[in-house]
Amino acid sequence: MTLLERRLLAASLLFGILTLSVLAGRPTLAAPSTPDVSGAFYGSNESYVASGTADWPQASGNWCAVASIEAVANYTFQVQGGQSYFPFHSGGQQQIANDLNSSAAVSQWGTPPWNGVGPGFAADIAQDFGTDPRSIAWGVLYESAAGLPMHAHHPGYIFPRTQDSTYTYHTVIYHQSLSQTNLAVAGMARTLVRYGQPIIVTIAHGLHTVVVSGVYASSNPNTSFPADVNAVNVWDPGVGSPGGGYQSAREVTWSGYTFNTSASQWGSLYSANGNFDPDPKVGIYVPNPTYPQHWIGYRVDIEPDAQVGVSWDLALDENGSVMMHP
Amino acid sequence: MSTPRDHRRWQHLPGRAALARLSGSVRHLRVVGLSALLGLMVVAFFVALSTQAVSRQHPAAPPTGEWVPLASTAPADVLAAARATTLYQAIAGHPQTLLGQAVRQGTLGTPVLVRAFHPLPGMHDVWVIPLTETVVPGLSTPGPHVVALLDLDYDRAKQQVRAVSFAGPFQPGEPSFGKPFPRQTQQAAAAIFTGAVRAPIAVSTPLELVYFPANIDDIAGTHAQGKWSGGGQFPDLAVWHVQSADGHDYLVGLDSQTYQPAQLPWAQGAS
Repeated sequence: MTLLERRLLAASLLFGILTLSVLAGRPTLAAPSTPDVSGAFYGSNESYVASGTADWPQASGNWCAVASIEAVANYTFQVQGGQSYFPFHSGGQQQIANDLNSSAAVSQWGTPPWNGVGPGFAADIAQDFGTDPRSIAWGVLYESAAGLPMHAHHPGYIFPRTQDSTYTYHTVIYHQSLSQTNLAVAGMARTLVRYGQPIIVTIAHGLHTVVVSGVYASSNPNTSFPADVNAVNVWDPGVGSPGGGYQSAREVTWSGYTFNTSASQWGSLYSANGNFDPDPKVGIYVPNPTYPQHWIGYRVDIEPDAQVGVSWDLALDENGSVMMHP
Repeated sequence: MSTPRDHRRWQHLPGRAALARLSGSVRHLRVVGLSALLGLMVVAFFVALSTQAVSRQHPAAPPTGEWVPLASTAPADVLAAARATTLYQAIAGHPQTLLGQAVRQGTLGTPVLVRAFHPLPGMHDVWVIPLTETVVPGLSTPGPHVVALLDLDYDRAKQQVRAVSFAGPFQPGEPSFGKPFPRQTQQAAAAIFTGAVRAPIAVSTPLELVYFPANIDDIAGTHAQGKWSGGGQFPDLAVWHVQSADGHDYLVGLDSQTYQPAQLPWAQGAS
């Protein structure tokens, strides 16, 4: 074999090996494998969230949603007036709890009767030990900048600085199965981008409520749905309370894999948890033989949206459609 | 045996000329064939490259958990693997988040291995890596201070790690703010154990940091059944496992209490 032939053969073998390494995803002649930086952060201003949670941790065992409402409501004012401009400081949770128990909070279908466990608040439509998703939706709307027109105004009352709102809040029910958690997370991420404010999310099969301030995704969750979400920033109002939270620190950035698979995050579906977190007892969402479940069996969060003409009592599905049955 | 003269004579035979021409043609064909093979390999290589580029533009939607090879358990190798994870790179690359800012300002410290105590299937030992900063608003004592904790699942059998979470930066008022990691020193835990149990520590079993499969719903849920302040329910709240000389296991809680396994708030199926 001549020198030329040997060189041709060697070059062919080299390219063959390179081709195989590319196909196998292991660059033979490259540095040790490191993943690409995946996309960008999409979400809210975390400095605002940190300031707006000054009244945390949750002040009572079943006030995780109350504290979450406080954080998001504060944020909506901070967006308009700056980081230190927010209504709920120390004692803010008590004010929100009072509002959730006021007559203004009661749904168009009323409040279910007390069954020894719940309802925890007048705003509930289920006999829930604490807040149910409907009461959270009403609470965050009422307490946020978007809900100012709902408040009774007394003589001498001065409006906080705010603009006319073009958004409202509804419960959103993601009906995807556990194997499609990524779609639910992508839906939540899409809303984060659209509205640029944190989102209240029920986690741990409905037992707990947290605030998601943003996600890391490899593409824009709004323009390229479903985005590949790599990580989720979760703020837990339970951290620092006597029982602690579902995570070790107030803010934890969970890898997308962990958030999607951990039973303490969105790796579990809303459940009755005994009889502490049941489905609605009054209204159009009371389960029936055709639709035996409403929140139970799915993932539920409370998101801002533009359907200002749709009552806060109503829930939306993952497509943004108003649900007229469980 | 042929002589040089014979060889020259043989070369001038008519049949030999034909053979030489044939040999030249074969060699030419071999060069052409090898050139074609090389061309084919070059084309295949660039096709493979372009295919890979396209697949990177359209990643699979569901995250599967990304494992990164671990060269060794030396601190430098664990840190290198941590920095290679998507979670770390995403956070470090985007300083508009509070944690992104902390990563830019801070330093990753020495990784600490936290063992899973009586693990459930799927639970891993965890490398906990503190992120420290020298100056932290609200803390007057000299630094460095732990401001965040990066957790990596450790697959010992395959020598690989997977990023689970990055907790922090810790806010004033929350329990981890201004606290070291681990919260207790080994010496302090040993002293608490000795004072409480009044038994010698097994010489053959060194103290080790552990976390255990806890029933978080029972600890932290809205309907929590009991108060738990001992820690150990998360790797970031690791506690010291102590074995007494007579073979009994104890955990020294963050509340400075000593617990036997039966006293822990176990998750369902664990004990």
